[in-house]
Amino acid sequence: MPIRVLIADDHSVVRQGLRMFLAADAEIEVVGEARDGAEALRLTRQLQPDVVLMDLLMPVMDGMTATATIRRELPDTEVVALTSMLEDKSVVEAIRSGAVGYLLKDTEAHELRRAIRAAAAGQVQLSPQVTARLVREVAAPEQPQPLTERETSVLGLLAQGQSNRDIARTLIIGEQTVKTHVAHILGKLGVSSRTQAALYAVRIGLASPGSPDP
Amino acid sequence: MTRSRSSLVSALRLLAIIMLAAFAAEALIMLTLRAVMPPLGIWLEALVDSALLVAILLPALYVFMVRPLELQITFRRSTEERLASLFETVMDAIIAMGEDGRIFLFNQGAQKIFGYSAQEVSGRPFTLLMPSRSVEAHHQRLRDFARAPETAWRMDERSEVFGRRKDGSEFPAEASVSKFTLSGHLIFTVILHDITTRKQAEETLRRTHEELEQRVQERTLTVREQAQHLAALEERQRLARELHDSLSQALYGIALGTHTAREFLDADRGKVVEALDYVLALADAGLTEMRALIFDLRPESLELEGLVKALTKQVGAARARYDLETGMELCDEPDVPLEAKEAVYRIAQEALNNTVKHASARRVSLRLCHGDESVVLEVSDDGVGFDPQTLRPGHLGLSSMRERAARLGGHLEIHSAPGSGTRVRAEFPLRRPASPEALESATA
Repeated sequence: MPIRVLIADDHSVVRQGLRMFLAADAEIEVVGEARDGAEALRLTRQLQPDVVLMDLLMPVMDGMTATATIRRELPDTEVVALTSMLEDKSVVEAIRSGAVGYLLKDTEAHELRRAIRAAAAGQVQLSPQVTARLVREVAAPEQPQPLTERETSVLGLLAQGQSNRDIARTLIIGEQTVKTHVAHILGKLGVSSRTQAALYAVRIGLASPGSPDP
Repeated sequence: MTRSRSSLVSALRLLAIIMLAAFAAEALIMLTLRAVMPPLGIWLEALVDSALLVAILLPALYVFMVRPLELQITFRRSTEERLASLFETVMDAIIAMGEDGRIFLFNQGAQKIFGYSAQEVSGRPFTLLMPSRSVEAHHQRLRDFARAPETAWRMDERSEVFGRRKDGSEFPAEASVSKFTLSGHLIFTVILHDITTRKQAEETLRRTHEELEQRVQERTLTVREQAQHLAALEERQRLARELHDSLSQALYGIALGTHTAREFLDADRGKVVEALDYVLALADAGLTEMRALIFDLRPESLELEGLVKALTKQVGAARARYDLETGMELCDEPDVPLEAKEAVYRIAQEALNNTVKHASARRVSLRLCHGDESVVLEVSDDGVGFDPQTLRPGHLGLSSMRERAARLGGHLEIHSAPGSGTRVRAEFPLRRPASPEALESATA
């Protein structure tokens, strides 16, 4: 079953290019295109894609606001931020809004496919440099509820960059169980994305920054 | 003259009254003596007569002549005393001198102002009290004044007068001179007032004013520099935004298209061609964008290529960049100063930008036309529109568009409502009546 992707970008040429580029990948299916944040939100509700590729600077409703709302309403849809500007501020804000990953519009087009696959598999992927900064900038949960032993193990593996399937295999549990654990973890920590949970794990020493498993 | 004549008349009248009274009294006495008294003989009669006459006339004489004189003298004496005390207590210097310029009166005020005692200056020339540089002029003016018909002369009327104190220091003064003749001698009286304090106050005031003026100028300069800096900053931000919107997206698209073409290279020729067409279209759009941006970056572009061409490029860039349908209705190049062209251009740019960013429009059209009186620019779209009433000030760059229009004596209208598109209309008079002041106030 292909990964269902929604493209949200206010530049039509970019939407066209992305659709064309992603069409070459049999595992990915572009199910819709949105011109602004509000449309992205509407189409996500309607189409329930696995991953939204979200431009951050968009008219009517910006990408951060749309991301935050999507993550709150449809936790099964992961958001990957895509922008032409690599500013600390926008990286931090994208992650804060609940984006699982952050990509620059550059020539590393294969990264894009990898990021979409990782997001769909529940895999957190952050470069060591970005992680160090994000651990500092993204606020940790104030008073998280204590995690169970099993949840702590899941969080540790998640922070190491393992996908749902990897975690399921490691802990010898079902993949759906892993998803349930992750949902509980996010709820207890009061965060909206796996990335934020992984950053929390790095902060409390459950995982070390910049050691993602390939 | 009149006064002495009237006193003579009153004296004669008084004498007549007295003589008449004496005559009447004498007649009364004579008649009474003859009627009531036996003849007394000529000598005795004369004695009684004279005694009675004196007894009657003396009180009359006292009442009518002596008493008024007494009062007059007392009054004069007190007036003199009062004048003398005024002369001594007044703060001003009062100095009297003869025709030879030698001082003979020097009041308390003068002593205080000049630092000399009355004895020290008595009999010495008045020029002692002035800086040596003014002595010559003083002599000349005094000689002229002595001959002149006027009796008073204010010294400070044109030039400043300076006094010199005993210690040699000088001070600014205000003085007036009057003259009168006393028993054939010409007397000059100088009344002089030290105005050092006033001058100092004036000087302080002047300096304060100057400082204030300078501060205002400095502040104005700073504000102007800040405004220029801000304008440059805004321009740079706009260019950054346009680069983001245009070239970086086009280049990203080119990268995506090229990757796609490479992937299909051996598998699907049709897909490769499709990807390459996309890449070429983007390269073309990128070049159009680049030309528009370079045009914006060169201030002389508008002057060299003209407003009509500039607007054509802008609309072309919007079409290439945002996939908008565009319409253009452009007249020939209007004959207006460069600053007016620039204002029109910037307003069009801002309005197009609003359409692209906020209107979600499919179509935008631009119209530029001019008659004999004015130039009219209209930018309209079929987008979502907005309620101009509820728009917060400063949003959409509306105030800067309005300011640009107002600076050239024109005005800007915005017609919009939710759901029915937006039309921005700017009108400028062809001959600008506004003065540089109007420009200043519009900028402020």
